[in-house]
Amino acid sequence: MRQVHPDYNESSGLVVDGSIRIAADDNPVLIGTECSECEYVVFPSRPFCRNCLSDNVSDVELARTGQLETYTVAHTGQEGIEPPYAFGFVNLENVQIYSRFTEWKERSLEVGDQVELVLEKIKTDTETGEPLFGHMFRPMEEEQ
Amino acid sequence: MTENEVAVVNVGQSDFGELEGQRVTEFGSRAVREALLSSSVEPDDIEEAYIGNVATTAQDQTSVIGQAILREVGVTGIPIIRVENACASSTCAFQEAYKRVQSGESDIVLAMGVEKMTGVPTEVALKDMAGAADAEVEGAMGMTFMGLYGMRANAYMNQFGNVREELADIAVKNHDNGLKNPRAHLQLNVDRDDILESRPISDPIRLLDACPMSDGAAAAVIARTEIAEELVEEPIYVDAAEMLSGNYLEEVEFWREELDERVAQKAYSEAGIGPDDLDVVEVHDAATIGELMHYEGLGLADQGEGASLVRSGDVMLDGRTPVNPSGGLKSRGHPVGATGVAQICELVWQLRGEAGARQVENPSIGLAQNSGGALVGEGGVSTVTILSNR
Ligand SMILES: [Zn+2]
Repeated sequence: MRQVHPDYNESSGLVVDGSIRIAADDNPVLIGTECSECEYVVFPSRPFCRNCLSDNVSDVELARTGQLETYTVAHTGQEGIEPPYAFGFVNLENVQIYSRFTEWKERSLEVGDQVELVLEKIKTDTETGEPLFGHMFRPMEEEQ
Repeated sequence: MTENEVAVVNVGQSDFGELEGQRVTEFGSRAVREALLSSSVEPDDIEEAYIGNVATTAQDQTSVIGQAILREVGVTGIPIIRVENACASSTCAFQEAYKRVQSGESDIVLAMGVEKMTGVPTEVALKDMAGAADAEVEGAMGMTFMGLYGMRANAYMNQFGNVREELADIAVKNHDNGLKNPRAHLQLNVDRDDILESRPISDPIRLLDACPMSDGAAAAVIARTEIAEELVEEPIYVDAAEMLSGNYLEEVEFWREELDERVAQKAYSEAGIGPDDLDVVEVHDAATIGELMHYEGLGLADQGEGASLVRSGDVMLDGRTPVNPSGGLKSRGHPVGATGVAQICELVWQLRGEAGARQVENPSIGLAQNSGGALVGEGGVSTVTILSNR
């Protein structure tokens, strides 16, 4: 199944600059920062480590799959985002991050679900009318 | 250094609700006027003032709001400082005022909170409130405050089992109490089915699980104990005033009120009491799951056992530890910058036996818990204030 929205291209805007990119295998990947001194990982990326303050840090690709920590489906939401929409927190290998979810209507969400990263349209830029993209996770097919 | 003991001299509160046609300076000054008139404190006696306010898009006066309000009651020419800490702003203002008196810097200080939220479309107000979460990722990608409560509720029920009906019963309890509070915003006669059948807001949170957005103000005059005892017959003593923020660097356990646990521990130790000593409690029930998790965070119930207090009736107005006799945020309303001092007002009225139809039987120790904001799903701030009539 495709993991990058068909309308996404190099000139598309991201909700969080530099937070996600297309890897060599054509799949999206989230970019965080890993500290070389204490191994603390943070998302989105930062110029120095918030755990030990070292600036000896570098980009790190986060795990593409993780576990659903918790979620909700919002029926009344923010201006510019069409409800209902789902969001929650996902535990990746070494970092817990906020994310929207997709395909939650087809396969209802449950705490503990395995989820995988996709690059999706997040909302419409209220100034330009253009779509803004970013990360979402979707429930993975049960393994047979 | 010796610390002064501190007491509340008197309090005042405006009506909470959609105060259409009233400027923030009008209902703000009404609350202060009530606090001054009901004691023998003159405007000139106030040495400093701290004001909680978040300033949403609905508010015309956004800066020097303390000066603008206090000018209306002749409190001028003194240090006036605005405190912003999302929905806990005015408790933090109260605690700053408390520290000034405790340290001996001033003898009589005013703390207040005020907020104007109605009069703009809901989605505009919601987007504005999203600024009290992490703005870079969460706010920008659609998180809402009721969504945070929805996430908490799903994590909690996954961990401890279904409490959906008990959450509804918390809403019913708080609305029943609110019907006895003439200043409460939402005067609703509702039953469990009304809550369970109201429209979904952020699963499993429904409309009647959530507090309204309100306008309102609340004020408290506090003083060094010896002075308070001269000014009023029944000063209410401040036995603890604590606040802490979240940790943020670790993973969050969404089914647990870890921040409450830390701040409650500090407050109990400062006051020299435990949760069993409490006679009346006000908690931050912006959503029903919030109230249930605060029971556990404050140690009123063990982890995973909060719902048992609802089933046993312990938290009802005539129960062992009544919670939110005012109606809470749920019914009294939630003008975010004013909520914390409104909780203090309720405790003072309860501890003086002045709470009318919602009076708890003969309380001597009360606790108020107030939360504000969130980052990565963890509370921005939680406060615990303990008052008593000794
Ligand atoms: Zn480090």
